[in-house]
Amino acid sequence: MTVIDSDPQPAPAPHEDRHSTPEAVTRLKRARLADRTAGRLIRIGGLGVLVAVVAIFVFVGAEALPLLRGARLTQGPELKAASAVAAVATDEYVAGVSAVLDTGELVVLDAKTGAVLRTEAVLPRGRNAVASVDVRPNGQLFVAGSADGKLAAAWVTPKVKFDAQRVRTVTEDVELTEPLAIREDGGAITRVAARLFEEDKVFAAVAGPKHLSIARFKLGAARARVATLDAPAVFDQGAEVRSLSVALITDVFRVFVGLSDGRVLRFDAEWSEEPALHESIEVSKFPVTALDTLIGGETLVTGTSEGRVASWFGVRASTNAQSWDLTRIRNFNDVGAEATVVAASARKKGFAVFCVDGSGRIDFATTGDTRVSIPASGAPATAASFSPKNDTLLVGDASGRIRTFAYSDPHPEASVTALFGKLWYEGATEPEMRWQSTGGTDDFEPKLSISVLVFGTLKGVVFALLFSVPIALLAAIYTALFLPTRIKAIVKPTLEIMAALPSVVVGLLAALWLSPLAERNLASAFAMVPSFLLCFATLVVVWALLPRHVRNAWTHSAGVLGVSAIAVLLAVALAACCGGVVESMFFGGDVKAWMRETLGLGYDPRNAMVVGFAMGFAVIPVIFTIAEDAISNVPKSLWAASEALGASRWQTTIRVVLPAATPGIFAALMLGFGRAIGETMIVLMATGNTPILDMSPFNGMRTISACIAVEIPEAPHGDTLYRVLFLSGTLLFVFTFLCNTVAEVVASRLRRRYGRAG
Amino acid sequence: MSKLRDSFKKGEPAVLLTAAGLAAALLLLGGMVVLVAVSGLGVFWPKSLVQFETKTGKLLGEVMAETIAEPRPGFPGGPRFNLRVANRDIYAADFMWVNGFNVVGRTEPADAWVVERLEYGNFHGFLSEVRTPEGAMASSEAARTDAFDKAVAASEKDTKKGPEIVFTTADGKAVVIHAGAVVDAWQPNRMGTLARTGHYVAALWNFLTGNPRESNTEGGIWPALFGTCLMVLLMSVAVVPFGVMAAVYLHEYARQGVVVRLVRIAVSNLAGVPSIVFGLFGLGFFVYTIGGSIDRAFFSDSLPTPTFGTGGILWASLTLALLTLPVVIVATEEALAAVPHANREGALALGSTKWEMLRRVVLPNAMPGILTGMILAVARGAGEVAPLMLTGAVKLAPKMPFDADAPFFHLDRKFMHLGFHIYDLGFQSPNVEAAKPMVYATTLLLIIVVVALNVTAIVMRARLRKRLEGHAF
Repeated sequence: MTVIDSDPQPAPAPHEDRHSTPEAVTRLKRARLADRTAGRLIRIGGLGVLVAVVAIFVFVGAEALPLLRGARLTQGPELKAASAVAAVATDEYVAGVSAVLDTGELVVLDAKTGAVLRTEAVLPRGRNAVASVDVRPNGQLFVAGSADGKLAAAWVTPKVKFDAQRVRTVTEDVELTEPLAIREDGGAITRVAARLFEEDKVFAAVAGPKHLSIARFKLGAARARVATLDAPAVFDQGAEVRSLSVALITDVFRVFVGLSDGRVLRFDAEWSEEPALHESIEVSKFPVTALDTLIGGETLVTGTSEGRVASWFGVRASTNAQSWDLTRIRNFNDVGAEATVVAASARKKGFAVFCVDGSGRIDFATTGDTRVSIPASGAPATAASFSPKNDTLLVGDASGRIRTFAYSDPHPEASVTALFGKLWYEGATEPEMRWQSTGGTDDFEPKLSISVLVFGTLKGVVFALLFSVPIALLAAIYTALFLPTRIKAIVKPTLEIMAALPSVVVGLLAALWLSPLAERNLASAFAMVPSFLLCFATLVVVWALLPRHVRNAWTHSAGVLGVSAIAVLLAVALAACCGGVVESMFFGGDVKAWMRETLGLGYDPRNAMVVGFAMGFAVIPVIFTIAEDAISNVPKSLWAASEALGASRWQTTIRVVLPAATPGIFAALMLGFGRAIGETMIVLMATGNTPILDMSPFNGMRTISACIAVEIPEAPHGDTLYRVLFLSGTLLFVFTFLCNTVAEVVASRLRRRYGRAG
Repeated sequence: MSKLRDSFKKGEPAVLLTAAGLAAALLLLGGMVVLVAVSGLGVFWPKSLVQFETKTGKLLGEVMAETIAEPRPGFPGGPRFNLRVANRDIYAADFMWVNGFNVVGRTEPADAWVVERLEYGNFHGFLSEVRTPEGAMASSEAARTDAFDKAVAASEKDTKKGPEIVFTTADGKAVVIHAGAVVDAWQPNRMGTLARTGHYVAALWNFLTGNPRESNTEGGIWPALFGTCLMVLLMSVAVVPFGVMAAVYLHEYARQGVVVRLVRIAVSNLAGVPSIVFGLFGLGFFVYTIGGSIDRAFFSDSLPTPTFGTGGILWASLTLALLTLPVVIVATEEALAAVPHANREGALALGSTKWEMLRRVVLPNAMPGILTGMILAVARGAGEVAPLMLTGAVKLAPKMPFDADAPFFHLDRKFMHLGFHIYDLGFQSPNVEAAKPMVYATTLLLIIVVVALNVTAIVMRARLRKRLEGHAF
């Protein structure tokens, strides 16, 4: 035992384990700590990454989920007016609720407390006054008619003030127009409807029991220009006016008159022009008791006394026809009792309909869906309107109650039928699938049919696969079975690089080079297939005539590939040269004119043919690589057995190897399909991105991926378009994930099977 | 005949057909590469200027293509020349077709100039006057050229100032160019092959390092090149550690079973998920959710103008990191699987912990594989465009994402990208014809980068496999 005194640390005893020295222990401890920490970190990190990857797709799907959410309607304060409500409206801040009562008074109530802020006599105090309201972004125009034939107007505008603490107070300004005598005979006004035109002009339709006229005046004016509508045919049959509505479409007023015999009359007029009866339609056998036009003025919603609700708009007999007729577009669910009020939504094509028991509903006109129901109040609903921001619904009834509802429905247009089926949009001649997400005007209705995009995607895929599958599979068979190993070692990586070429490059060449080239030499493109067949037939004959030793030598070198390449090149050259001849021989000198006249096909230079070629270029290496692997992995024992039985190489290929490799080839096709479905840049650049449903190879299309790329930068965050694009992205993801999974499962089965056999 | 029948019996035509398939695939690839190379490489070569004297006037330009037109009624046909006449400010178009039957004379005047200008693209014409004291004295053409060179050298570059220089077009129209607006000027018909080569190299250098002009159709692509590199770098920083970690977890730590197999299938399938879906995620999650939250928390002063709540290089890099994650995971796993068990067991037998074994034995051995994965990821990232369009690539970034202003890295900035540059030039530019030379040159550059990266990866992988095959015995 050696002890060195000067050393404070005891030296290890020879018989002791070296590892029990303090440093060694620390080191071991440290190593263990490092091991544990690293293990934990890697576990957390690794799992985290995997979870994050899953979360990506959950997130993309979740962004689309709000589309499924229905409308939300929550009852707010119930306000109380002194008498039955003839018309009711609120401002964009929902601060004051204004209502014209059947006494001829205008009351302004606080929207929260119901306190009466203001009372004005619009008409001399009396009974049975009627009124209508035109809610504008900057104010509300009330027009009221009296039992003695007078018409008066009130223009209510919110005035906003901010105090020192930046607290907003809103007061309502009221500008009254003194009563104007409309009916010379002093008969009663029983219905009225009006629109504000160019800031201060009022266009009002006025009806009495046997009377129909149009009054036009300026706010504050003392006189009105009145035109009595001569409709003896209407009243002679004993019909009465039961409902009235005026729409303004740019500068044309459209007056709709609902009659007790179930008809609706349509008068058109401009401001300075006399109105004329344009149409009379049969709506029902029962009186038409409620009418309103939706935002934009084109769609009319009718409600009848037995509770039927329907929508109508002008439909042309064909796209080029000049005239149009009001056509029943769809029937909505019955409201169950007499419909008394229809109120158009202030944004999007929705409307609320109420009936005699005060119950009601909000429907979306384009899809026909009922968005939300509103419980009964007990008294007949007499007036309703949406706030300018469409976030509040007001309903007044015969007992003077005004119910307020907070309303929100961000995505009414995203129903299953809208996204995947046919819908009848305004201006169309029939129900159709359409994608048109943005338009020039505010009341433009987005048309978001994902079906169109799915169609476009599949069209692109079909053309891409038509082009790429034969080439890729033939190439795979040759590479796997006949190509000398030496050359294969170069060919395979080369085609792998082809897969890695950026798709933006392929798309660019397709659009800038191929598409003009194909347009100029369309006949040559058509001549390509016969030309190839001809050259190939020649090759076959020439090959058969070659001396045996040459054939043998070439089979075991790149010779076969070389002569085939020459044949392919010759085919292309031949087609290019013959283009002009073919064009004049078969197509009368102009292929495009021939196509237009004989086949009725148009030619768009950026079309499915070009996309198929370009996308096929991108898909070839994907299919090739996997298919080649599958064929190469067929065990050599199968080969040997087949050849031992006397089969030729080609017989072995067709009867033994290819059947064995079929699942792998299927997997390759699935992967190619997946790649083509998701390809973005090529389609974006090589098609015109026109969302049309047309299978012609000479027209473009719009695919899901290109549509996302084009439109999502412009789609406001959280908007319906934004969410619909996320939904289509989810679809795309699900498609490709399924394709890839199927391919992977099939391929791994195959690997296991031959793993054992080989 | 019997030979043919014999050949058919052996199935030789079918073999020829399969060979034709492979030939077609290879020819497509080769054709495309040649097409891009020819269109891209020729862009900077100073072509001779040819002066065509036609019945309607004189035109001076580079002959881009020559075709034979078929005769039609009222059109005699014959040769047609596609002439790059430049002088966009005079002719409105850069290219013109000249019919051979209209041509009276064809010369290559030695004193013809090509002037690359700040505005309106190139100018083709003749130097007639240099409005400097020296230029006023110059009587010979050589003296004028001298005076011109001095005026250009003396005036401040990239301004529209400096002494006026008067050029005349082929048909005698005078055009005034300020010396400061001259980017480059040469007399191609006086240049020999060597001089042209020198000019070519210089023009190529300017292309790589210059800033774009004239809505990207002129000048260089430096910001796009830089933006691509920086984006790819940021992406690698994000993807490599996490990808390797996930692969190590999957291969070394996770209990092998059905779940891990499923996860593995899912990961490899991720590689097939369309890139636009990743773009959607990047936009919805990084830009709007995370970026929006950062803005509300730290940049609420500048709202509603977003800082991080809009596309930027950080979000684009992270999106591409997710996109390339499967590439790195798969490559790393493959590399880990290839490390022989004997090596691991040896390390463990010597008393190392699992982590020490991984760190000292397995990871170093797997390093080439990991690098291969990283290179493939970089190649994919460099060529990808669709997700970048949604997450921050722009046509023209006013400021680079990395500059001398503190804090130097501006991860919130938008950036330019080679692939997006190509898309934008080819499709959004007002004058596609004029943009074509630039777009082909950029395309060629992108292809070279991507192919070089892929070839490196393929070679590395081949070497790795060979080495490990050696280990197996």
